[in-house]
Amino acid sequence: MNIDFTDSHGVTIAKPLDRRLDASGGADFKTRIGGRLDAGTRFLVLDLAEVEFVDSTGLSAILSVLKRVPPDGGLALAGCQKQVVELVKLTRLDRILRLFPTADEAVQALAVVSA
Amino acid sequence: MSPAAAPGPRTTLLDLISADFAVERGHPLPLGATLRRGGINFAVVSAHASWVSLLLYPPGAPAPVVEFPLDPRTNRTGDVWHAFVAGLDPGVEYAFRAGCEPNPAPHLNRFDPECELLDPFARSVAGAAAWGGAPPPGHRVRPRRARVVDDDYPWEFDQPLNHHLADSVIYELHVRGFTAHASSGVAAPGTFRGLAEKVPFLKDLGVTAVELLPVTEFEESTGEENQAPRRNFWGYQPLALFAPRAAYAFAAGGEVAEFKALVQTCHAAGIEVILDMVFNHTGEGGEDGPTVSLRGLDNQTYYMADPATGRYLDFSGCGNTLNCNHPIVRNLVLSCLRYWVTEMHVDGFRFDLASVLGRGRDGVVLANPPLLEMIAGDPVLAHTKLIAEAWDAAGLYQVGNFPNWGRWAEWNGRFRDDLRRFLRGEPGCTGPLATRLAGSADLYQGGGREPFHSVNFVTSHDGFTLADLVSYEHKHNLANGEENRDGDSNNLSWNSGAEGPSADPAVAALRRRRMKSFLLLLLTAQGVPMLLAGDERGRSQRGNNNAYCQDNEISWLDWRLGREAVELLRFTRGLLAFRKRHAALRRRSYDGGTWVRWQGPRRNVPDWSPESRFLGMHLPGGREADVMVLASSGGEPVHCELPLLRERRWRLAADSALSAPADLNPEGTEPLLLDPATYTVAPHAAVLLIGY
Repeated sequence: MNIDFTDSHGVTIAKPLDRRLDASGGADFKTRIGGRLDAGTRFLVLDLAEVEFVDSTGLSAILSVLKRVPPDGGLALAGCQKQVVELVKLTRLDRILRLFPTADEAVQALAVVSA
Repeated sequence: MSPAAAPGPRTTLLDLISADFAVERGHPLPLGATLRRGGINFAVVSAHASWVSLLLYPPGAPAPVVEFPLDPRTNRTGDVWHAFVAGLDPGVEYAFRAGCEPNPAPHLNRFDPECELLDPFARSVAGAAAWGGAPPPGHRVRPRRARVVDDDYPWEFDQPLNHHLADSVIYELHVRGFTAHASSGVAAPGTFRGLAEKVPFLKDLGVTAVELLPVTEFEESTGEENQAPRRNFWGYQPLALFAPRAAYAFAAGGEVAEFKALVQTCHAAGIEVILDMVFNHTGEGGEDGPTVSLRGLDNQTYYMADPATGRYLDFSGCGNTLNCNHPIVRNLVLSCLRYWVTEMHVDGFRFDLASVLGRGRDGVVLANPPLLEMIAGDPVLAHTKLIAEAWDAAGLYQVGNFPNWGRWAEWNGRFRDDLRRFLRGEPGCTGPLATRLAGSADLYQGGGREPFHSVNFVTSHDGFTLADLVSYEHKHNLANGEENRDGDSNNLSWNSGAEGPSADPAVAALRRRRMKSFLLLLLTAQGVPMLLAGDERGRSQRGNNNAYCQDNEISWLDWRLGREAVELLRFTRGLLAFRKRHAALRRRSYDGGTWVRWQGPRRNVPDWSPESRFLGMHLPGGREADVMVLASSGGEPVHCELPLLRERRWRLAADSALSAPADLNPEGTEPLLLDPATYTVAPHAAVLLIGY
């Protein structure tokens, strides 16, 4: 899985470049983003603007990443397309995952927390 | 504030999972929730759903914290929907949601996407841990959901006991009713643990098996809580066939371990555990009943319905009929039985309305029902006791010809009826009594079965207790709230001279004698005797012969022993000890019936005339002692000429007409008869003699 990492205001933005986040890429997604968390990243934005389809496996990978975010850190989703937003609602994960229209807005929200 | 520290559901879900959390394809088998290394595999069958979701709940949470739609391309194999969830531990609760869009046959596919569905393979069920709760507003039953349990239990060397059926004495009891009464004196009344506390009593009584009224999760609410105390107390409204009833646990959530501890305690005392299982219908009721599990998962697979209208076919009298000979349902039933044997160590099953299990998908009675054959021939169940209630609620009566493959035993309803007829003095009953005492060869010999395939009983949970059988001629069911319409009106009972409680000492004495006579004949007959709990002490239900809804003192066993109860208990215990000592009463084969000699009042002369109300049964002993049973249902004493013995003499083991302690003489203390050649049998009495 191709993931573009950038840092902004103390927040890491991870942007998967594949169109699907599902069983085929979920494990790789977890490993690579988990590596960043292990390396000390506390605040993470998952920019899903390029992702057209997420299934239960992909969603569970996001939850696994969320589980690894340290207690004094945070995670937000950004740029989710319609299918992904609907899935997050359908699975009731909108109560856990914070969604923002753009990566900038997500960074801003997390940066405020981290400040 | 950090989002990770936000209060509410987020914390809860994240507490539930580990960083390894992943929802993966999973395996289609085994069905249900299965612990595997690193997570839990979930699998459920629905042949007609177009989508299925898996719902997860933290323990006790009111709503799911996550719902994963299962992808038909990856999470479906055939008609099994499955997923493996890594990073999840036991204790998590789960449910399914299912639907079909578009639904080609709404009258057959009764999906309700609003319903959170209980897994038919659930081994533990959360949501109704206490007795007597009412469903919340908007619900017909209390919402229940499956809980993933760890099977680990320190069984040590425990395993099913495998007593020979011929040596068995079954004691039918209700787990709650047995110890709920304050007089039980147990620390955990009304629970599996409370029953375990009473095992020493059962061992001392001399029974070899307990048969428990349904202990799988059921709904006791009748939806009529304003008419308290009406509740489905007995338990014949099953919701989850693999799950011990949560409310039978003393410690909330401990029902699986406490059931196992009960089995272990029983086994340590040499007592087997037989479960009354309800596979003929479920607690989801008729078409308008609550959707809990099977109806919402795959209605047309699990239930028998008219294909044109979708109306349920009802052979159970309970609104629906489980489609038992559908391959998917056969698998459910067989898996369930194997689970109870392999994981819970139970020794046998009594199948409620078992004749339903012999009907095909359209309700037609099958000659060789696949399900019954599978159960009979299953290698895992090869030593498990299989007892059929060989009739159903639609008029099918198969006592004596239940499809059996030499394996199935039956509740012998004819034994009950013929003993009742004889002991209430009906004419023409001496022949039938003899047939019943000799093991009902008329019913079981032809099909290759033996006397022990006849489970003999005079009373069961369904009908009068023994005390009421001799105290009431009519049912008295007003307390059930149906104006006395419910319950069987054909009880073949006789009140011994007055209806209900009587201050007349003569009536009381006759009732006591007749109870003892029933017990003596039941416990000396060939076959497997079954006692109803409390009959050994004269428990009354005040004439209520259908106490399914009486969760109160009508049904609860009162452990206080009055003088009469002490006498009856001693009598019963003594007869059970006699039966255990004398293999002649526990024959394993019919052997052509050459081992029994019949007579009337005259020596060696049977009297099968319609007027005869007297029977003598002599079991010549050979190397063992001779045994003689005398039974009289007439109103006058009978002077019976006894068989002449060579180098032996007749001694009195028991006489139902005598008072304690003369009524029952323990081994070695049996007094010689004053007149070795004759014995006078009192009216309505039964006598047991031993010759050595």
